Amino acid sequence: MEAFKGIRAVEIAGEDGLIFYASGDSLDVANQYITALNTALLHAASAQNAPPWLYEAVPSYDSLMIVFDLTRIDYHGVYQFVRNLPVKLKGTDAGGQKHRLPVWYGAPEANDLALVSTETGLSKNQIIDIHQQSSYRVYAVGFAPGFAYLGELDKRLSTPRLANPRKAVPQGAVAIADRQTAVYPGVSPGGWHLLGLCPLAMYLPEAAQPIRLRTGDSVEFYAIGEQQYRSWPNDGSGED
Amino acid sequence: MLTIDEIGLAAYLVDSGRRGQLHLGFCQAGPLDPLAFKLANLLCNQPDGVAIEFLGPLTCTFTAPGCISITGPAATITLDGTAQSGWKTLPVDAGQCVQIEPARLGTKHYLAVSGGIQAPVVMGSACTVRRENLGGLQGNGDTLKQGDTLAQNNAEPTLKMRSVPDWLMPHYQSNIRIALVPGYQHDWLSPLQWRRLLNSDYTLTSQMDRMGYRLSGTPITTRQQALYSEAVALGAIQIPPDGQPIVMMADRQSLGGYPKVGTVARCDLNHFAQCVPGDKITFFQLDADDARSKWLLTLSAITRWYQG
Repeated sequence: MEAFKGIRAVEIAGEDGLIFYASGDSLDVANQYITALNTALLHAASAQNAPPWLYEAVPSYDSLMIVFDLTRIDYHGVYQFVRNLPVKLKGTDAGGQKHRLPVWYGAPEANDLALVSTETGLSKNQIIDIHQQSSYRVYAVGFAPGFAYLGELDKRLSTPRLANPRKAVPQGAVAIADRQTAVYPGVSPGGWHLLGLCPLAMYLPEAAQPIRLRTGDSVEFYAIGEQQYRSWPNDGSGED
Repeated sequence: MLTIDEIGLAAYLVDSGRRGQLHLGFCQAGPLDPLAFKLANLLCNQPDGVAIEFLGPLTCTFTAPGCISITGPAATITLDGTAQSGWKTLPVDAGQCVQIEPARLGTKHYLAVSGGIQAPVVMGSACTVRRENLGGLQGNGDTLKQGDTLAQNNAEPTLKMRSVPDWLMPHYQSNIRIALVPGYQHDWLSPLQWRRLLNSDYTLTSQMDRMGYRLSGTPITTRQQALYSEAVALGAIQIPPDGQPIVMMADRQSLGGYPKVGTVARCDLNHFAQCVPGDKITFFQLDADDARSKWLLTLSAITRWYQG
């Protein structure tokens, strides 16, 4: 299938799926285009003449997969529909929410600071400072419900995954791996280095919007102490 | 209502799965053999409903009259000791006991009841997803256990007795040819690697679960390995660094970073899902338009039978 403006390639993803790959000099540019394309698609999907065939739209890093009802349309039709979508790249962050997440750095249940210090040559305080200095973009949500891949992490903090992954990373653990950082939404196995704990729930099963972070959102972290962590309201709200 | 008396390997609740939740990180879930599941429900006069997917023998007792159906590969079915057939509507009375003994260990079977089984809907589905601790009878991802009592929704009092005709019945085999729809990173395979993939026998390994089935055979190399994680479609065929394909199934994670050469065609996914470790699989190429036509023919055949 022919590439078009903003899209470098389109490939089949099964007889009821298509995946669009964004062009762009950097991952940020590509992800911005994917977010804008997804926003345009969801906008069309909420309009009165919404495409009845749209089952899934899954953005991730530089790609967007669309799954459709193959009894109503084929991939040729979906390709034409997406190609004709009015994509608005307003500002630099079309469609994204901003989040500020508190972190108790060095919480004993989630503390690989000494290991990261050995691997990067930075002091613990430098690691904590550098982690707070960037504004991160949600490149993708996946792996587990509400698990958001945030990037890009400062080069100086880039570390490989643990040789022996943990069997159970605690809920709320703030972690880094390669040029990425994330908050674990629930207890799960994991091979990332842990920096601390975030008291905010990433995944609220009962809420109208159960997932806090969405692809295209931006995230900043700020340090809190143990006292603040322990007294954080437990109702799942609480971003300032 | 029915009570679970005995479970051989595993039994858990499934419905047709989630829709529109992949972008939040929830898996699709749903039955491993979607065709056997769908036909089981249609035999109970309903387009969809919560049913039991089970592996190994299953015994249960009914505490109220109703209709049931059992689908899947070959199995010995008895109702109070009397032999019965699968793939048809079976009326049951209160107190009757059904026993199902699959012919091959590890195949997936479906027990549907008229009205469908009552279960809480979490994130758009009642499917049991252990990895996410969601779905099932309590909504927490637990599978069924001996002694569980299942309630069913009210069903129409007059049920049409049906049976799946031979021309609609899946023909399960232990050595199968599976249609592969090229896609994703298909051009990361050289023509030689494509020939290897399509001309080799693969064996299903014991590393298989509701997330994915790992095959073993001629290793396949891709021109590159580095890929940003991207959405993984149902039936996607991943090629990890060791070159042994993994087919991604109902409970697969929504994103993955291994190259994928394409997907198992929908028309063959049910046959593939019913393979057990040691079964032989060969792939043949089918383009997306042909795969879609083939599946549409199956869907219209089902409609013709159901409405006829």
